[in-house]
Amino acid sequence: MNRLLLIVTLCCLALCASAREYADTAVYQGLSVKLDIGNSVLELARSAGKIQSYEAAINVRLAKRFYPTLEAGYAMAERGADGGMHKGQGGFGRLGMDLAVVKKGASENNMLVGLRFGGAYQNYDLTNVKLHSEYWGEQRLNFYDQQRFDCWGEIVAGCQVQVYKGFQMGWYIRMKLLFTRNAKEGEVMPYYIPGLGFRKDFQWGFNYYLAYKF
Amino acid sequence: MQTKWYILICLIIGLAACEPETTCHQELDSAVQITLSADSITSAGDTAYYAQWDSVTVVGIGSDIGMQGKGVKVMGLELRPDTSLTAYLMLYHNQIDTLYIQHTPRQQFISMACGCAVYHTITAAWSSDPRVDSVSIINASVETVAQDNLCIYLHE
Repeated sequence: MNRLLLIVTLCCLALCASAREYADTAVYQGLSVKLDIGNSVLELARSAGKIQSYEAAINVRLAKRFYPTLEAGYAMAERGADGGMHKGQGGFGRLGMDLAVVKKGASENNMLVGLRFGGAYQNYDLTNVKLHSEYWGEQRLNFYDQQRFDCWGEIVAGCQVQVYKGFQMGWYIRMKLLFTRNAKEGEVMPYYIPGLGFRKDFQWGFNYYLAYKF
Repeated sequence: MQTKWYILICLIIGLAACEPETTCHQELDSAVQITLSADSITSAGDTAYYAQWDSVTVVGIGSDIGMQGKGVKVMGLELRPDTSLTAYLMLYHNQIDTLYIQHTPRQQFISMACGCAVYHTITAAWSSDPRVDSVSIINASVETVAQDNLCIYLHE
C-alpha cells in the first residue's frame, strides 16, 4: 500500500513538473487587452479639446517573444487654420507584430519592437478652404461629405511591464509612413487622418497604455 | 537617471513637432506657358523665323489687371480656377487678339495653410485673330512646374 502511494505521489509530481514545463514552452502564453491613455490625453491637450482619439488593443503572447497585435480606435477632429476648417470622424485599425528584444524568459516585462499596417476610413468636411490664384483673386471653397480610406505603415518601439498581478502598463513610440499620398480626380484629401494624425508623409506618434493580461 | 529625463524631454519636443504647419511654403502658382511662332519673308526673299512678342499687353476677360511685356519669348498666363473657359485679350503687333483656352480645372488640397492648388488640363485653344493660323497644344497639363503648353502660329 505504501509502495502504491509512493508510486502515485511520484506520478503526480512528474505530471506537475511536465505541466509546468509545458506551460513555459507552450506557443500560446496569454492574451492582453490594452487601453490607450497617452495618445488620447496628448491629442486632447494639444488641440484644446478639438481632437479626440480613443484606441484599444489586443495582443497575444506566442512562444515567449512574439506578440501579434490588433489595434482599433475612433477619432474625431475639428481643426482649422487660415480660415479653413476640417471637421471629420472615422475609425481606424492597425494589425502587426511585436518582438520582445531583451528578455526571452517567462518575465512579463519586455522591451518591444514591431511593425504595423494601419488603415482609417473617415467622413469629413473641408470648409472655407483657400483657393490660390494670384491673378484671378483668392476664392474660398467648401467640400462637404467627403469619404476616404488612408493606409500607412509603422515601426514601433516600446516596453511593457507588469505592475500588479495581471495588470500591465507600457508605452510605444511610433514612426508612421503614409502610403496613400495622392487624391483621385475630384477628391480632396483630408487634413487629419484618424490613427495617423495630421496628414504628413512622415509622422510620429506616442501611446501610453494600461493593460490586463488574461 | 538624468539621461532618462533628457530622453523624455527630447521625446516631448519631438512630439510637439507633430503639429501642422501654419504657414505655406509650397509653390502653388500654375500658369499656362505660351510661345509664339511665325515665319516671315525677308526683303531678300528668305524665310526668317521669329518667336517673340516685341511688345504685348494682356488682360484677362473678367479681370481688370493688365500685364505688359517687351521682348517676351514665353508668356505665363493663369487659367481661371472656377470655370472651364479662360479668355485673354492680347494686344500685339498693333492688333487685338482674343485667346480662348478651354480647360478642366482640378483642385488639390495641400494643407489648411496653403489651401488648394489648382491644376488644369487643356482640352482646346483657339484665337479670334485672323493673323493666327492655329493654336497648338504642346502639353495639356498645367501644373506648378513650368513647361511649354501652347504655341500660337501666325500667318505672315
